[in-house]
Amino acid sequence: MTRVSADDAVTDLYSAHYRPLVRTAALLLGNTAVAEEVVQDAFVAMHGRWNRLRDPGKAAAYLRSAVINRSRSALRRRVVEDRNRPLPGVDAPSAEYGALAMLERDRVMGALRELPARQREALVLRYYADLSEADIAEAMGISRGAVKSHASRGLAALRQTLEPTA
Amino acid sequence: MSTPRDPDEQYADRLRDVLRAEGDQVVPGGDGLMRIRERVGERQARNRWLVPVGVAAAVALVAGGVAGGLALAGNDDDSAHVLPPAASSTPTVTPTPSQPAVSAKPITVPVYYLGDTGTALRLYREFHSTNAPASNPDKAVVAVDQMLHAKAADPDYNSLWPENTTVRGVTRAGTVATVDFSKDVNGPFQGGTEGGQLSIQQLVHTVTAADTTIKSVLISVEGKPVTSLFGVDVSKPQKRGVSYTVLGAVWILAPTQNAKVNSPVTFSGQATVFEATVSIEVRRGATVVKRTNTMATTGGPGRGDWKLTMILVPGTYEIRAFEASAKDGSVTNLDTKTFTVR
Repeated sequence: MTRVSADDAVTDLYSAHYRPLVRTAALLLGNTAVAEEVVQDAFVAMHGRWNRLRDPGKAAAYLRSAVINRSRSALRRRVVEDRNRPLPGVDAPSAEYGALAMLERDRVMGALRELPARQREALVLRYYADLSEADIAEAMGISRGAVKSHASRGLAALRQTLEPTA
Repeated sequence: MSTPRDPDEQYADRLRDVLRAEGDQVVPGGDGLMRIRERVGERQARNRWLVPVGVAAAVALVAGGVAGGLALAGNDDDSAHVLPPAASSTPTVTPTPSQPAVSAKPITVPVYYLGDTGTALRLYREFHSTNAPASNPDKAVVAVDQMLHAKAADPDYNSLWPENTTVRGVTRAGTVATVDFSKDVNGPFQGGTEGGQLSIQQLVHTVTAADTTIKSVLISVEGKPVTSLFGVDVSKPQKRGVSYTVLGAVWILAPTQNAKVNSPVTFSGQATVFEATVSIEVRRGATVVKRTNTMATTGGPGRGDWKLTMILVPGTYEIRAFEASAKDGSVTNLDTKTFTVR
């Protein structure tokens, strides 16, 4: 069985997964620079473990779970660092979106950031990354049932925040 | 979606739209791959120091619970996909089972080459993996050595440095590096003024990319500083030139030359082109199978990233990325790569 070298694997996986992973991490973190660092970290770690990965076909799944774990740690660190500052949205808003749409986005993103980490992860992986329940479970290292309950509790909580009278 | 019954489902749709809009705004920098490679190189360099330590010391490290191989390998807690260490006669977790204790180690370095755009010479970048001698794991030295002696993977790229020139070492003083060459560097130079200037830039780009703490480069020959090389005044530290005067206006970074890839194929690169429009053509033999264009993240004179994904049936292809001339639509600043879809 031949296996591509770790260097080639990184190159291949980078072109397919780097950008989507950065975007996913940025949605979890609210910061592109930190998201890039987190994703680069995951690639470096994967390179180091390449020869020990059970199944090279699982490399993308490995990267995803590494990114989720690291995002969570980064967020934890940052929340400690600036506990009193509300987390901003993803970087600077662009002018091409209408003010109303922006407001809606800010509200939804704001509510998303209020959620417990697991709920936010489940929602972002499902509704942004479009992952299957099984893939989300693998990325988060929890059961499919737990994914389901995190997602539905997250969604209900969003609704509560955005529509307090409902 | 048609008439969602669960009110939460409406929020799911709202959330999906918002996440997509937010996600679309995230534009990663174009240098992610380079940074990853740099950090992989740094990690390997660090691990190299562990190799001669031997098993006993490695056990001590792991038992001490401090650094150990795992911390060096990235300090991560995502072990789900990782094989447990093989149960061998020694129940020892060696720090880096993937790194055999040999004197030469694979290292990946950025190397710049010259390419002819049809109207000018410009620089193009490749990454080369090679065995670095353990005695001299300096990435800058390895990268310059590659630049002097390794052929570019892409046959369209080349180097004009005089044959037999060798790099004798790179010394650093702050952000200035002095690259010392053998006297062969004074051999016949075929590149003319333009080729001379670009060859110096080739060196500066290669060195500063291999070691990002270096910002400018001085040149010496057999230990003695030189003030002029290839007809270029190099008495002062040489910095990277303005990108649009030095770098190829269109670069294809993925796939690399002769890469074997899976479909869908992701093409990516950098470009400094008018209105950020990069023209793409994919050929199989003489047949054009796809012709399209894509937008770089920034238009000229800025340098943007571009990316495009295509479904292709197995076979060998050539991708051509270029700037269609604003004047007559002709092909300018062409870069090409041959690749195979598995």
